[in-house]
Amino acid sequence: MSRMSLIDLSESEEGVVEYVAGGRGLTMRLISLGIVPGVKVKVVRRGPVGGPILLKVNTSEVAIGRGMAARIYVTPVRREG
Amino acid sequence: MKLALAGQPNVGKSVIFHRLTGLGVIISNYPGTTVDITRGVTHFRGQRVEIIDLPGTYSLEATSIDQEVAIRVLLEEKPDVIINIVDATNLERNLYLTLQILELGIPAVIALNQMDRARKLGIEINVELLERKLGVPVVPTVATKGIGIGKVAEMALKAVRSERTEFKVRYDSHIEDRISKLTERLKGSRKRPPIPLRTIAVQLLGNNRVIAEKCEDGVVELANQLSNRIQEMHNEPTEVHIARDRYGQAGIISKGVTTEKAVKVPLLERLGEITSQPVIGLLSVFLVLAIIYFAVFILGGLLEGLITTGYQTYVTPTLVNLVSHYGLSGLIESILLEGINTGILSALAIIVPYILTFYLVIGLLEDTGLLARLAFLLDGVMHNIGLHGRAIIPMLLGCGCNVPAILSTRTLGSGKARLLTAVLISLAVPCSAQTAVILGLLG
Repeated sequence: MSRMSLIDLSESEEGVVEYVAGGRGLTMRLISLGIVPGVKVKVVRRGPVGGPILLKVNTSEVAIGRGMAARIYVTPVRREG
Repeated sequence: MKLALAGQPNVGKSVIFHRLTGLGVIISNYPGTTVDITRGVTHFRGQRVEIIDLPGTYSLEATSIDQEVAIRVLLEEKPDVIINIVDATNLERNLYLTLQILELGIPAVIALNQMDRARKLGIEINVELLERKLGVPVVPTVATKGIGIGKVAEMALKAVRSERTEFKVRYDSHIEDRISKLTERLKGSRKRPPIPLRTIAVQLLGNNRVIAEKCEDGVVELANQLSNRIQEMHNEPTEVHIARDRYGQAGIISKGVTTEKAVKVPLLERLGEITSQPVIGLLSVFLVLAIIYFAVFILGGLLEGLITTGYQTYVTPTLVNLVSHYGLSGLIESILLEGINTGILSALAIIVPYILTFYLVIGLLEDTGLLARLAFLLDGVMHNIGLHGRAIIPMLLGCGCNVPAILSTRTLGSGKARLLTAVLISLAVPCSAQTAVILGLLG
């Protein structure tokens, strides 16, 4: 399945993180939040008025800005049924 | 003896710190930064224990100023033992820091905190198995209720005398090759930080600048060459590669010791989910804000009445008696009765009730986690005025009193955001005393 930016996932959709298009700072910051390539993330909620995106990473919820989210590429996980 | 507390943000580290130290605490900024280091002294089993509370960080890689301070303090102050506070509801992410702490080779004890909440969420952790996998004592705790804290302290004292466990994170073979090369080179080098050579090598490959500045230039140069080589082979920064391996290991450990069962999610957790929906969320936020205001005015007004009545029945007559007893008159009489008497009364009656109530309500609100939701919901709106959603919290506090509100702006990321928020608060957010005056004038 093709890669897409995390920002294009709708609410309650899931994706596996492929890579982060960003420099060292952004990558390391995301790593410290548990957003590492290979990890499954779920979009819990998209904030109103261009607000942040609330993600579920493992057991915790993390809110990240749209700018950051746009630079995270994921392979969407489609659930059948 | 020196003890350091380390943990990720929001794991209950400061609660444990205060449980351990009582109130003999000194807060200082690390020289040249605004990162807080809290220190305290306590006596345990006849031993004087100095406790250093490191800034809450997700890792020790020195990619941000607080991480830099954390690793620097660990290297320079050489604590005898580290208590690593781990959030049981979020084991995998927390273990990422734990693995780095264990790699430092300093004796450590793990406080597995928020066990009560984990249980409520259906997360069971096999503590003994975790102990065996990490090779250090693990103590389940509930910091807010003081459960397990005594045992953590006891285990920490014991850990100082125990043998150091050589904990190793296994990395990808390409990285392991470079680690061995660098370790060989480090053996011949005298200038190096007091941690295992292997760990120095890993951190150098990951471009940790604090570690690099404590090593010989030649070593750092070699590390950079090796690191670039790995980067070329994998087409991603070496530190990302290392981080992923470490994360992988944290994940394996965490999955091995955790069993999750489906439970009915507690009301408060579900409330969080409901209130992050845009429409319901914003409505509930406005509802809550309205309740805060009414609570402040009704409760505050009630308190004001009580204070005024109490003051006028007990204090004013005493003053009047005093004045007539000593036969004071003229200027002194008017200073005492009109100046001091009315002055103190208005200070007590206007400021105390409203500010007290306001902080009571905000305190309750903080515990529910609704403030974080508010920051999330309003982030988009706040971005329009160049601020982060988090800036809403100081602004809300400003409705109570501007002074603590401006103090709390230090939690915001950048200097620009702090300045902007502080200016906005002082110009545009009326504090409760101002609001009282405004309402008085308008009403």
